Amino acid sequence: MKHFGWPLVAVSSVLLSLTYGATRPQYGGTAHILLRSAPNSLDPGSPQSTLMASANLVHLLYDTLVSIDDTGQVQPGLAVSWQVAQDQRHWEFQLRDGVKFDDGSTVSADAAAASLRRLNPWKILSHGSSLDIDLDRPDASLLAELALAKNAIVKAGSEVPRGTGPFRAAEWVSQKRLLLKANEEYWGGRPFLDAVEIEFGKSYREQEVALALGRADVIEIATEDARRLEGGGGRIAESAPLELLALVFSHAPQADSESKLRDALALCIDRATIRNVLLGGKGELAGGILPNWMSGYEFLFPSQLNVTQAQEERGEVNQAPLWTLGYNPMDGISQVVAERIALNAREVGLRVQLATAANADILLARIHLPSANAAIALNSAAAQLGLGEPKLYTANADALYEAEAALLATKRVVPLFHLPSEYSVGAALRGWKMGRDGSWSLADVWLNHGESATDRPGSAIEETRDSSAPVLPRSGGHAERN
Amino acid sequence: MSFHRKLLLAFSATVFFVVVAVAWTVSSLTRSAFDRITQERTRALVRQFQQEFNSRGREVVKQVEAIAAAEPAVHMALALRGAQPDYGAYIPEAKVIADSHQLDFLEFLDAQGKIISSAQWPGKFGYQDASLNVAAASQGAYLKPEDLPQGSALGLFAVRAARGTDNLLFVAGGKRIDQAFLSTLDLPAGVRALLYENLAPALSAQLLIDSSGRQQEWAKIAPIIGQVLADGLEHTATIHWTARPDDDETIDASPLPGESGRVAAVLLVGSSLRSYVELNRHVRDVALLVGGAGILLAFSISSWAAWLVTRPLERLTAAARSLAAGAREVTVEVSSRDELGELAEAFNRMTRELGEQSARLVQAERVAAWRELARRLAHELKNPLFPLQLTVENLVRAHQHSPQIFEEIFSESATTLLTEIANLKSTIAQFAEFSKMPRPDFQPVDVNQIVQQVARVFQAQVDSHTKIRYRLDLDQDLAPIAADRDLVHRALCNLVLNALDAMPQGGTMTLLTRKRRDQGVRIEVRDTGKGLTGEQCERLFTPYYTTKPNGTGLGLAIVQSIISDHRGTISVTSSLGEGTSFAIELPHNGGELNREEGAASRLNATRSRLERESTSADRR
Repeated sequence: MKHFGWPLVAVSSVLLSLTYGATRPQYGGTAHILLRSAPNSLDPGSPQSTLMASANLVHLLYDTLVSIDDTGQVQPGLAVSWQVAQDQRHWEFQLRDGVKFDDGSTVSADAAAASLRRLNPWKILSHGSSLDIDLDRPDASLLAELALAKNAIVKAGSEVPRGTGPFRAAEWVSQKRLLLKANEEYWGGRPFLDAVEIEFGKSYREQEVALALGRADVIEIATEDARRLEGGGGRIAESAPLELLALVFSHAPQADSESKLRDALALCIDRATIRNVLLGGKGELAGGILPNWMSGYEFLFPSQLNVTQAQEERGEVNQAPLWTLGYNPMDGISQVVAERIALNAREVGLRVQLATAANADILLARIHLPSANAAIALNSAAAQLGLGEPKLYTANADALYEAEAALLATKRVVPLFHLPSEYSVGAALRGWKMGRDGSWSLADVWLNHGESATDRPGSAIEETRDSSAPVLPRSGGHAERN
Repeated sequence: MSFHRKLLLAFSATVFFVVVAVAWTVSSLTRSAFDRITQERTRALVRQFQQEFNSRGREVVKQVEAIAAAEPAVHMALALRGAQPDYGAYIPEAKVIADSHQLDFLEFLDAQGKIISSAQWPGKFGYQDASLNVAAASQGAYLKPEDLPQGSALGLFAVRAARGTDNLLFVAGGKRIDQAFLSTLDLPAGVRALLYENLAPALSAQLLIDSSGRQQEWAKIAPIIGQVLADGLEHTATIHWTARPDDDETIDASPLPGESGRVAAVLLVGSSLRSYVELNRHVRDVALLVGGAGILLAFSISSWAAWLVTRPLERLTAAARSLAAGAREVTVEVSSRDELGELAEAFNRMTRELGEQSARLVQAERVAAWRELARRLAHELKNPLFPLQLTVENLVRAHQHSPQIFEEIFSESATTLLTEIANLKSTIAQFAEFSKMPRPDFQPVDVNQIVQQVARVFQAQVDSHTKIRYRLDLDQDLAPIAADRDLVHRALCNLVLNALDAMPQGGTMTLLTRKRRDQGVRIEVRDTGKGLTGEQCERLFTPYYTTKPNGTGLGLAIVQSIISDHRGTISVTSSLGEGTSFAIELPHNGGELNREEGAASRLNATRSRLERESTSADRR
């Protein structure tokens, strides 16, 4: 050790400096992202903003008053500070000074209030640079609500939605392509990237091929493909399980016998095999609507296979009706999972037949939980599953548990899996981090110019640009749509 | 029924039955030919189906063998060796390989029949395929129902072991037998193929397909499918889809056995009967046309034949009728020398002999009548002659006595002579009257009025006889009839006189009139006298027959003659001790009135013409 100590330290220092030099943030370049979804609006108020991909787009173009970090802590956004009255009904936010929309106009408290009033029933007042929100009832989840993409601040009255995010829209072809340019005056600092080009409506296979050919830097991948791509040496980014795969009955049980049959169905599904084989080991077995990392009590809801008990429940009913099980034919894994569930059901004497019709007796639903906040996520999940909204306004775990247990007691939903969102990231993209909630941080990534997709043949922005697409011209440094 | 009609009926019936027999024969031959063609078409289609089936089976076997020999199967088999397979790695494998080999079904299974990868049900990995028959790994393709997530389907399967893997892995692949398969069959016009997939324990309409998809015509076709499934034999039935025969269809159902011998499917070949029905309809139309023409021809022939046969008979009939009506010089033309000619000659001979006999009979009757007339005249004239002779002899003797006595006797004798001469004149007058009965002069008359006049004539006589009562029973609705007033009056007087004579001890005499249905009149003269015997009644109207001591026997004969001249009838009913009733039936005789008027006008015209000729002759 004495003989080799210093030379080893010296060599290590050189290697470290070389490595740092290769990963050091750099300005410039265009990142290419391919997505399977195809949003038709950039407005945060669009219903599509509840989808993860669309929410991420919103956060590239707009800012919210506050945000939630991976630890669940509220972080300042356009609001630098806030206060809440003891009754938790009156909130006061102090806005950040000097923030401008991408058309150059200043973000005032009036503009923020007008934006929030579009979708919320709250009483919102503005004075100076502060914003007051008065609620009808106490709501501990207001900050998490304000962090949702739908509550991003947008300039009201503008033909084209104007935001304050790290990027601005330069070109937008609905459902096909979006070209973002760096917002030079972003209050959080100019992004490293000059531009981001996003193409929509690409199948998983197309995305995979594009990544393999170096024509994309970030792609979405199917949950079931993640293990294979990991095995192939790909860089996989994975969110916390934020999607729920569940069986949803079209109506409440009409009799005890029907409840028993639904219990039998829930008990006979071999979730572990489905997860290990069909989902590539990804995701978590679900007994509850919210994932355990979010609620903390999900393990209390059973999700284990129990064929014996399922057969007992089935045996208490003379005749089992023929259930049709619908699934989304566009989602490849849904079909196989539905087929497996039909087989599991047959094992205990239940009659389940697959159908793609929307009016099936049972639907294999896949929903996104839009927030890491449990109350908001449960409200949203209940609404998306058609179970009604419990309208929780508290972060109390007991109340949450009771509300979720009540939803499960309706026997209308059988949670199956909580699935993460998976992305594969190209080698040229550096600094990529994905939040626990699946959020991107494109403002902080940079391209290793020697490996950028834009520098590779056949992957230039110009080559993929739709000549018929409307171009948002720069006017005084502001993008406007014709 | 006339002979003519019988002949026509016989001819028509013959033609009708011949046409029906021919039409039935043609129809039967057509049906049998059509059935034969249908059977041949069905057999050809079944052969074609079998060939297509075998061809597809060979194709399936070939594809499955290719898959079993390919690298992915070998790799899969090697991965299975001594290790639990990673099902997740093989889930899409079967689907990809099935697509590349154009198979609808493909499964990779381990030696225990556990599914490694399934194209038709990817989620079925790890499950046991109970239907896998390892023994079939060396056999050809076979039919098998296959469970699918959306239900079941019928497939043509083949099983092969992956090559060189010591039966570690089996490949079971197949193709669907569905409407797409049926659409590959080359069907002649009017023929269709249906397939019943025996995928459920009970018959189901959802399992019947044709080349266009699910078949809706289930209820009428289900029984024949049930029969084939029950006994595994071929069956044929004719199905009437609608009330129209054009829509009828013959269904031939053949079983398609599966691997275990169970009927896996039923092939139904439907042959439309439309062309047969149209042909049959054409035959019927031709038969009707021929039949109609035949009946017309039969009518003509029968008319001609009837004319030939029945004309002589009709002449004979007419001659016989004339003969019956009293004609004596009746003959028929003998127009042939056959049986009918002989019949005509016999008829003519008979009429000749009948005429001769009748003439002889008339002559004999005339002689008899003259004899009777002479006898009656002698009798009637002898009675007054004897007193005349005695009176004259008495006068002769009285002439020898004194003139005074003679005068006395002469006076008495003269009276007697006059009386007897008057009787003679009366008798002669009656004969004369009978011989000179005038023809009635028809005029509109009121019968009631005549009856009342007769009653008034005899009123005084009735009144003088206190024991006789007179009763008139007249129908006031009588219409006038055409008759000779005087003759009717005379006839009634005669009858009333007879009635009064029949009641010397008194009684009731009734005069009655009634209206007849033919607008004629019925007149009855009834008495309550001593009555007549049956024999008397029968002879009563015979001339010169009388029951009265002083009667001439001409009174009722005259009455009968008058009534007969009026085209009426007179009848008598009588019971001994109760009385007698004479009934006169007089017709309306309206035609006689017109004839009388015509005759009168003709008479006037003739008279005027004669007067004009006489005047012109005088002038000349």
